[in-house]
Order: sequence, then C-alpha cells, then structure tokens
Amino acid sequence: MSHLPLPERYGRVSSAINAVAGAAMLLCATSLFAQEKVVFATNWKAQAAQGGFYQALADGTYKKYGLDVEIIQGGPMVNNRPLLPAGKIDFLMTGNLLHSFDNLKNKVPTVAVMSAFQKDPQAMFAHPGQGYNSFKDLAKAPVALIGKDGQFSFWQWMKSEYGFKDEQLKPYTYNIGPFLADKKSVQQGYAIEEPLTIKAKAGFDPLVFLLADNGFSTYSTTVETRVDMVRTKPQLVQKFVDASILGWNNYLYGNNQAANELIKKANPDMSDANIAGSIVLMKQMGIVDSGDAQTQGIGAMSEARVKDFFEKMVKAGLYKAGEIDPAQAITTQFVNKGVGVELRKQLTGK
Amino acid sequence: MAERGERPLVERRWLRSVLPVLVFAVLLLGWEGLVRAYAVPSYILPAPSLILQTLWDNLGSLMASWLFTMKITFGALLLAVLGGVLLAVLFAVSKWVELSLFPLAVVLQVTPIVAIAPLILIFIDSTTAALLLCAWIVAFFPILSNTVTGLRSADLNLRDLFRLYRASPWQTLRFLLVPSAMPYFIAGLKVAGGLSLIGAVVAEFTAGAAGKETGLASRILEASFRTEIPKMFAALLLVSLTGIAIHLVFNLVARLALGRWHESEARRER
Repeated sequence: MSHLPLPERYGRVSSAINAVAGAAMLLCATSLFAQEKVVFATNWKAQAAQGGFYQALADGTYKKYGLDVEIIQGGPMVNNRPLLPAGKIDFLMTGNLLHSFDNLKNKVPTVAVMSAFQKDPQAMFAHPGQGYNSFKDLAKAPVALIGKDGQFSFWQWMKSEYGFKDEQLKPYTYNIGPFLADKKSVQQGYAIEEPLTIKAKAGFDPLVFLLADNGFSTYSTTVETRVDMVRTKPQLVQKFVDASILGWNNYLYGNNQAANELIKKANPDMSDANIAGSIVLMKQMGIVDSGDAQTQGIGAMSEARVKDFFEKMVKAGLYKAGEIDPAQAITTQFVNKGVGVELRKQLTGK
Repeated sequence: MAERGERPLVERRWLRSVLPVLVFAVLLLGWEGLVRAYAVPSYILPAPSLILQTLWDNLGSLMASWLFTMKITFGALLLAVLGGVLLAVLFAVSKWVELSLFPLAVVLQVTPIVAIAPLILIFIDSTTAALLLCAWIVAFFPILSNTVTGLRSADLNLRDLFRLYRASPWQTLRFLLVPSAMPYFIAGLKVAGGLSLIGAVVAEFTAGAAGKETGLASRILEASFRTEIPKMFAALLLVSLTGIAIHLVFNLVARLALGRWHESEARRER
C-alpha cells in the first residue's frame, strides 16, 4: 500500500472509518427514536370519556413522542389500582382525588400529574316523575346502584354529606337493567355517558344530578404515576402528559375517527351514536376544556383547588384535618404550560 | 422391632400437633426476614408483624365481618346437610326419583358460582339470601353424593338379614342404612365444610354489596380499592384461619362419631 499517494493510501481506511461511523450514528439515531414502552391502565371500559388517550394512540402522537403506549381497560369488576405502586403499570387513570388522598394516607407513593377533566362528570340518575327534585331527595331512594370504585370513594362522601345509607346500596355492574326495572331506584354513572345508554335502551331521559354541582369539586380522570418515576424519568412523564393533552385537543376538535374505532374495538358494546353524544355532552358541560384549561391547556391543575376539595372532605368527615397534606397528591410541574392551546385555536379558530 | 407399648414417633399425639405449628412458625419467620432484609414496601408484600398489627388495630370491624361470613358459611352448611341428607334418603328409597333428579344435582355442582352469582342477585332481593343460596349450591353436592353412596353401601347380607326378620323400612333405615352411611356422610361433611366457606367468600366477591352487612370478602375488596394492602392480608388471614378451624372441627366430629367402631378413625391396639 506504501506505493500509493497519501490520500489514496488512507482511502480504504477512511472509507472503512466512514462506514463504521455511519453505522454507529444510525444505531444511536435508532436508539434515540426507539420507543419507550409505557403501560396505561384506565378505570372503566373504553368510552368517549377516555377519548383523548385513545386519540393519541390512534393518530400516532404517542409514537411521535417516542412512546410505545399500551392502554389496559378497567371495568366494573376490575381494580387496576394496586398495579401502579407494584410497578406493573406506569400510569393509572383515576376517577377522583379521593383515591389519591387514600394513597397518601396509606403512604403509597403515587402522585397525579395531569387532570383530563376540569369537572367531574360523576352523577346520580333517577327516573323522572318519582319525586326526586334535588340531590338531597335521592337519599330517600330505596335502592342506590353504586359500583365498587365509587363505593369506596364518592359514596362515602354521599353518606356523610347527604345522609345516604349503606342499606340502600346495591352493586352496579355497568348493567342498567336493575335501574330500569325499579323505577324508584337511583344509580351512578357519568353524566356524559349513561343518559345516552338509558335513552337508547329505554327511550327516556333520566334526571341527572351532577355531584360536582352539589359540592364534589374534585378533579377527575387524573393520571397518576409513581413518585419515583417523576423523580427518575421526568422526561418520560412530560412526554406522556404532553402527548395526552394533544390527544385530547385532537379528539375534541379534530378528526377522531381512528380513536373511536379503537374504542369500539376495545369495548364492543360502545356505539358510534353513543360516542358522538358523549362528545357533545363533554363540550356542553365543559368537562374537559373549561376554566383553567382554556388558557393553561387541558390537564391543568391547581394546588389551591386540591386543598379546597380536601377541606370539603374533612368537613364531610371523610378525613381528619391535618391527616395528610393534600398538595402532595398532585404535582403541577408537567401541566399548566399552555400545551395544546395553539392546536385548539388552529382546529377551531377560537 | 418396636417394643411392647411403644408407638412409632409419627403417631405420638404431641408431635402431630407441634410439627405443623413449627413448620408454620419457620415459614412466617422466613417471610418476616425476607421483607425486612429486602425492605419490601408494605403495599407490595407486608410483613407478618405488620399484618398482625393491622389485624389488631381493626379487630372490631374485621370480627364483625368475620361473624357475617360465619353466619353465611354455617347457614349454608346446615341447609346443605338438611337438603343433601333428605335428598339422599329419597334417592336411596326410590330409584325413579334418583334417575330423574340426579342430573339436576350434577348441573348444580358444575356451574361456577362466579358466573351465576350476579344472576341470582337480579332475582333475589336480599343479599344475604342470595349469598346463602350461592354457598349452598357449592356445599350441597358432596353431602348428597357421599350420603347416597353411603346409604347404598350397607352390607348386602345384613340387608337380607333385616328382610328375613321382617324389619320395617323405617327400622332398616334407622338400624342399618344410617350407621352404614355415617362414615361416608362424615367424609362428605368434611369436604362440604371447606366448600361452604369458599362458596360464601366467592359469592360475596362477585355479588356482594358493601356497607352494613358485609363479610370478609367485601373487606378484602375494600382494602384492595383503597390500596390498604396490610388490611387485605389481615382479612385473608382470618379467612385462612377459619378454613383451618373448620377442617379441625370436622376432623374432631369424625373422630367422635366414628372413632369407636369404624376403620377410618380407629386407633390400632398394639
């Protein structure tokens, strides 16, 4: 090789080096874009009320943020809650702050990082014409159909604050049959979901009594994760939160066809009409994108509101004052940054 | 060669009671040691000391639930004994009845409680009645099946003897069939005892409500939803201890009823 001029002498070596360097960069690049596996468990069967998350999965937003997300459904008899502290899932959808307060009380290290709903759509439904004119009246109902999740959270508040009694309680298994059969019964549900099913199956509009209108001012459909995840993988959490927020904006204001297909595949009982009706109600009632979320982005949370809700629960006797520090139940480091507000303006012009 | 009056070690009374307890103690100590050594958080696997502490702290409410579960268990067992024995006698007396009803009994045995408990709850308003029914379904078949076999296993020669002496059906039943059936019935009772506990707990898991009249299954569910894992284990501990107690009680019943005359419980005279 020594008889070749200098550039040519190193020609083969340099091309070899180029090849190796190129391969190395490609490897690094692919590992940078390698998807991080994330498992997200919800607290009910797939429905429009979880639409934003399914949207981010269906339209590739999660993938764009480098997350390979798997959504596990919850259900009437399913309890995904212990999976989070045990490390079997990474994020958990939680119905209300009472669950988070309970975790704090039991020193389970989890924290809520975003709240998809600014208003809790949890409501009680009654047959019209049975003398139920206000939420207080429902306490006189002979039968109250409450699911397991609610039994150990908002039902406790209903007993304390409004005098409901355990004798009325019967298990709600996502089947509206018992409610339809007994006209005097009342049942739980989401104000954006059950009225549609009841109208479709039984042809009447039930009376809706929103818990949030009666003092239950909790955040809802929050996303909880482990405290050590927030500490050791904050970028992962931020990516999940941001992608989910964008997912919600796209679901509400953009093309949500693919997301609805995913929802129907996961929950074959769900219909297009039901989903469409749900979205209309979500917008009407300002469940997702209202108040703080309008300016600070969907998912917004404020410590002040959490503290206020805790005071209400202390007054209702669910917790003792000073038993826990409610501010520890959430962290606002990932939200309130206005993520998605631009996207919404683009999609809706407002 | 064992000397006269000396029993092999394995049959010594005190050893039979002490050995299981010793094994349990070693396992518990191992569990406690592992949890402490690896600093396992209480919401993943609580240490036995924490479980016992939680049991003590919640003794009042857990015992109330335990009492309810006991009511269902023994209520169902009683009904299973009554129903099973009555039906077995009927089967033994009339072959026609047996041929027509036995398939129904088999269907009851093989249907999983988890599947039909919610259905039962739709038709029956009272939760307690529904739970009793579910636990009964689980416990009744072993008693029926065993007692039928027992009633049929009376020595044929003795049966002929009774016929020779012109014993009435009632006398045959009382003096021949029932004593012959007793060991089989007791064997079925031992199985049914454990099953009625399982039936009561499983039925409540799938169909039970919460709040006032709740058994241990509801407490386990409640603790699971509120991530109170030590309490969950404490309730589970009560269920296990109850199962062991039921087993021991029926073993004692077997020994008392059969000890003096039946091979299964007799002690060897050496």
